[in-house]
Amino acid sequence: MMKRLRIERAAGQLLVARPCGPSTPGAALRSSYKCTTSQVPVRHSSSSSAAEAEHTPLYEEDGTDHARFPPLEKLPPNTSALPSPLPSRALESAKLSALHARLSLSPKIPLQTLARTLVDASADPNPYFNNSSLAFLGATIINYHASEWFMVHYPRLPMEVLEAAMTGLAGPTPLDRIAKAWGIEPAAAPGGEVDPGLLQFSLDQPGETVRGFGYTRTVVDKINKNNWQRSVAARVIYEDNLPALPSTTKAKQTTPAVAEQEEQQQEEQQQDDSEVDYAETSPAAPKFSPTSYGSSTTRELSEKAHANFVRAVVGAVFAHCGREAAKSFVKAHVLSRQLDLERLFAFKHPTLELAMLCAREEFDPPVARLLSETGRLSRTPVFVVGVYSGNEKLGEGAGATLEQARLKAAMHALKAWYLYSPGEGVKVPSDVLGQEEEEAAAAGGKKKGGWEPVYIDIGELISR
Amino acid sequence: MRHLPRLRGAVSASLCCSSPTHIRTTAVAAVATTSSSTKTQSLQRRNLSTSLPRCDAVEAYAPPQGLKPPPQGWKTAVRPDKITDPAYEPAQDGLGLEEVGGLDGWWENPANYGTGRQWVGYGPAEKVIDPAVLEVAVYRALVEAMIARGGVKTLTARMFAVSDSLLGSEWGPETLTTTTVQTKLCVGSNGALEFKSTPPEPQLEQKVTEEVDTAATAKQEAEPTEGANETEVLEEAREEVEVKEAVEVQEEGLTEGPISSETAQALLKEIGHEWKKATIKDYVFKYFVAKRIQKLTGHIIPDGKLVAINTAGTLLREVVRPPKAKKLVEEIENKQLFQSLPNVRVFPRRVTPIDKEKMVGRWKVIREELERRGLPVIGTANIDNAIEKKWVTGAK
Repeated sequence: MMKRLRIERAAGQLLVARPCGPSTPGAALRSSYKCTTSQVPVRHSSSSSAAEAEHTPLYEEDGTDHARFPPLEKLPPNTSALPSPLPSRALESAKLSALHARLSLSPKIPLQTLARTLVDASADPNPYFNNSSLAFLGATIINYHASEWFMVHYPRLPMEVLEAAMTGLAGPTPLDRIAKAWGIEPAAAPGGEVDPGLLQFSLDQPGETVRGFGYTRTVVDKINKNNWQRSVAARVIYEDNLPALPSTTKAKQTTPAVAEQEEQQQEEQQQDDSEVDYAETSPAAPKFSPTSYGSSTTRELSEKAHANFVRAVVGAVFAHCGREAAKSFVKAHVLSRQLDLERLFAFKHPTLELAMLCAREEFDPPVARLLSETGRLSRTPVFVVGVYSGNEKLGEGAGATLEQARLKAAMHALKAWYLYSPGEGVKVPSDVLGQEEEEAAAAGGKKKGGWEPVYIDIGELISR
Repeated sequence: MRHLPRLRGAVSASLCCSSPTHIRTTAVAAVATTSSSTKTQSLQRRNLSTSLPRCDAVEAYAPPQGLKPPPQGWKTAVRPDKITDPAYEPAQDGLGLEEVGGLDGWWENPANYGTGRQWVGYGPAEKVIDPAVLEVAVYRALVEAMIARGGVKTLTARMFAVSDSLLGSEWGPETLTTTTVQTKLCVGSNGALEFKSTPPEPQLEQKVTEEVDTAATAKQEAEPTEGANETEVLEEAREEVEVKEAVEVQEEGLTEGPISSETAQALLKEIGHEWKKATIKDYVFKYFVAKRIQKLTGHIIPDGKLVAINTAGTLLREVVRPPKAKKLVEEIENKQLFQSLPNVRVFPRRVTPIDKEKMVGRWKVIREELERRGLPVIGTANIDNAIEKKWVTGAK
């Protein structure tokens, strides 16, 4: 019997099998029948209209063959459209549990919170699901403990050096390194189907970060607009933009519809345009080697995301375990790092500064004396100069020329002055914070606290 | 070439076939009967030809019930100019037309097979899993085996002759199981399984035969199960049989099948545990019990294990113990090995590179990009290795 010509069939015409698996005696017959291995029973449609076999998928459709490779994670449909994984998935992630144990976090901190700390604002703009609020909280705690440590242990540190030291100990770069030392791995692209134990951030759109709460002074707008420069001390007093705090960057809209709206808004409000331009963070001087992965922008975004994660963990520790636990966490992970303060100094006129210092402190004016030398007429002379105030040597320096050696000696003298430290055993204010409260409550109002006043310096000589 | 011995003497009547479909069974049965009867006929068995005996009366081949052979003959469609249906519209091309006719896939359609050749298993399609029900089933099988054996220690042909109906019976109504279980078994003096109240043998056999007959007649009339032969063997048996028949007639509407778990647990309290210590050594007895267990529960005890089983408790354990997990992940789930370790995740199958991409979140990006470029997401989309050659040469 001659067969008719095979014409293209619609999908609905094919006789689709029921699910395989002989469970009845009659199923042995059907085992030879071709099974289109779909686990979901498909309604057989013999009509040639464009009606495809309708079926509601049980799990998310991701382009793979679910019969041959059943999904390992039984995720409901459209999970990858979510910006971040659901909190319930935190309980199933092995990576997250391992991270929790690796950091020796208290059992009071639930896995869901830890999962939330791993979601950056650029991945999920919803503040209830990202780590922006926890990161702000953690940033304030880290900055507080770092700054009080510096103020107590190095009371004479100049403001600029203090800024640099804070950045070096609690800024984005050291926090990024801390996160990587903890073994945090970034996700390739954020989404609802990603393992909750991975750090999720987007390289396309930088998210909005919480910098502070309350109102901003009007002066801030003028400064940002007119690019006014202020001294460090003034900045510390009038503003709170310590470099350790994360800076806000406006989120870029990627969808075309919203981009059109943005263009219209930009045309209408030209002032906002200039603010936007200024507010965008300009890429800093390249701090990565040319052979690093990605571009400078992506590296910076990655660094910010890792730093925010560490801040968010500190915030989570504070929220669930309290002040003391957060302090010991910061001490263990952040303040325990080595920082060479000596290398942070940069003097412009060291001899002048030293002279001003001696005048202020009513020392004898500084005199530079050549202590020893060798090879004056040779190609490589070495002069060792000491700076004396009266009979006391303030500092000593060696150099290739007399001027160089003198400058070095002055710098060393200044460093010796600025890097004065009362020792390691000095208490910081947060050490006695709890004590004072307890004793005040016990004594019924009489304050006697264990706080001993620390040395407070008059300040630096040349403020920048 | 070896000379095949032929039958000497007249062929027995039983060897003549009555219908072609039952050739094999009758021949085997005939051989069995002849072999077990006398020694002289054993010579005949050895000389039996391996070819089928010739039969003159061969009935016409009857296909299995319900089989639909493919239609024969031709059917012609109506010519287009002679179609009277006003709604008919001739098609311009072949796309979307329904293909009609042809024998393609006739035997792939299960509706054409019917029920004649469907395999019917000996035991139930779904095995019984509940351990209480299994224990009751094993106990019942032992009781039935003891009844069928009677008081004799080893019994072969008599057991089979008496217990054909016994072998083939299923669960029956719940009362049947209950009354069977009321027969108490215990460990005898030499360790073997015995009735608690031992009856004399001839009365037992007579009773069993009577019960089997009554059961057979009862089944033919009202289609209840032949449960009348599982009662106690004392004088109370007859009364119970009558009572049970009446009960069975009343309770025709009861669903047959394994008893419920609660009933089984209640029955187990009456049975006790001392019967498990009894030894079972007779192979035929063990085989009978294993066959009953298969009929009632669906569990098959392999012959090798049956040889090794020597006590009733071991037999029970063999039936009740769940099968070994076929996959490592199933065993891990059953034993809950890594439940206490939250940082361990066990996957039921190989983690493919695509799974790793999904976990990291890159898969959706890959898929989107491939779809944007019109490339196959998985596989090669019927593009083989020599595609460029085909483009160059112009082959399609």
